Amino acid sequence: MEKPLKVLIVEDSEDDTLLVIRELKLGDYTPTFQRVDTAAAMQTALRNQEWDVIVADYNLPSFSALEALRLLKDSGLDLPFIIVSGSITDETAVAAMKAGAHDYIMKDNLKRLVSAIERELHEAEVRRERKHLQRRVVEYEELNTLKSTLLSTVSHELRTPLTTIKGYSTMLLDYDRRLKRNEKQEYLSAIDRATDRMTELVDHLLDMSRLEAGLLKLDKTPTNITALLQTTIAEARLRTPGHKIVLNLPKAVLKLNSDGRRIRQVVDNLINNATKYSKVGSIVTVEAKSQDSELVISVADQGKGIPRENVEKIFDRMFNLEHRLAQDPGGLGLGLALCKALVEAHGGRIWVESELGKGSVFHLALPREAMTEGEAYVEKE
Amino acid sequence: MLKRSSKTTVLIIEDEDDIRTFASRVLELEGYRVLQAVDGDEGLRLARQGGIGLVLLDLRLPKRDGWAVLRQMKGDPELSSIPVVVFTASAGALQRSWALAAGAADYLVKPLSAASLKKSIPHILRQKRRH
Repeated sequence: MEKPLKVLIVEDSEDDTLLVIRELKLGDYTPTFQRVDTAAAMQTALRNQEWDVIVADYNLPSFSALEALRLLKDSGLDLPFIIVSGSITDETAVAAMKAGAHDYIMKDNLKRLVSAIERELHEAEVRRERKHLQRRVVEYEELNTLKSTLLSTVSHELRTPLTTIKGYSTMLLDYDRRLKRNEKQEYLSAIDRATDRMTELVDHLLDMSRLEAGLLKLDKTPTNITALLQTTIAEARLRTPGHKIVLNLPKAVLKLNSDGRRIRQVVDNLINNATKYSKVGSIVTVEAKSQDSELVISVADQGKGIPRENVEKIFDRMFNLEHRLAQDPGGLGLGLALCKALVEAHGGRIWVESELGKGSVFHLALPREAMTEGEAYVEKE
Repeated sequence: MLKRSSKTTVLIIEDEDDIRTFASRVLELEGYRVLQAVDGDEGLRLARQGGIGLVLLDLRLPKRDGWAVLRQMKGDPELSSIPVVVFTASAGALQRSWALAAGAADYLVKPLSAASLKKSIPHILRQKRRH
């Protein structure tokens, strides 16, 4: 029965290396090995190859087992580390074990090596298993927290438009004759807006769960991005007349093979955020251009900006949920996480540049992937 | 029934325009005087101006949130006697007991009908008068 074993040997002597190998073969192992005798060689070996076990001489001319142990620790790998040495004092043995060595074997008692390796391989396996389980538990706990945070956020976010609907409709019923006609109209449109808000919320939730289940399919067709942005901005201007929304487009019509509905959803979301987080009267600039092999769309606001430490996290679902309840503007906080997922589903990237007090610029870059023959583009509209 | 001659003033602290309008209008129709604040700071400022008979308080507010407003009011001898009715979308039992422990007179969960809102107020005012 062959037992392959990948051994990294930290040793300056060829002869001693061969003794170790011979011992392993006697123990029915089929070792493949590499001998290193400097820190640099060991780092390279750890980085470039997988190992089952490290066997190290205690003292080398330009390296030592203790340094080797430190390198192993720094690499983050958890490998059995066994020291083989000619001479040993109690102090050095204790120092080595404290530093993390798993066993200490005398060169004149090498037959102990195989049993030590077998035991340590098993121990390492147990440690790996335990670590794996611990990771799973942490993941599970995170998921659980996410779920309950999501539930309470959703419940809170649904209750707000529901309050408008319940409140205004019961008011219209109870006080019908005491309300003026234009007042009634106002309440009815508020109810209408509240149902839109709830629909959006439900759509977001569905998209998110479809994404998670891997069920969100893109419907890619040749899309006129120029026209798409013009329509999106025209509607955004109607929605938020308080902001000045500027659209900068190149002369040539921008086209892309994409799911236009989804691209629109992303741009819409970014514009909504831009207006939500900046003062009424400030400017929101939407830009699009062809850049190398990508089509880049940017949405810039003059809002309060995002703190540096949050710039990376802002697209993270968990982060947004946790910070949502503490912040003022409404919404589920899934918007940016959803944008990211949708852009990535297109093979693209999304990122933000932001300066506190000056504003944020969100960019999304979509690859202008090779068009198939059938979708030959006409560059003029 | 409340005497219309001595109108109670209700201060509504709520950041959502629609919900604030709803509560204000119902209470006006029921004969109360209504003051409105859109955040915690403004709410406290109006409360300190005096003459407030009851506060209807949202918990999730910009600037100073409803919890802070509640604590400030209950810790301030000038304001602590004003009943504060919490009006929130947080339906948790724990939050409810925290709010009541912090001195809230009642805890109303959104959504709420016009009739339920109108019924909850005289009840609290009667309680206050007894004390």
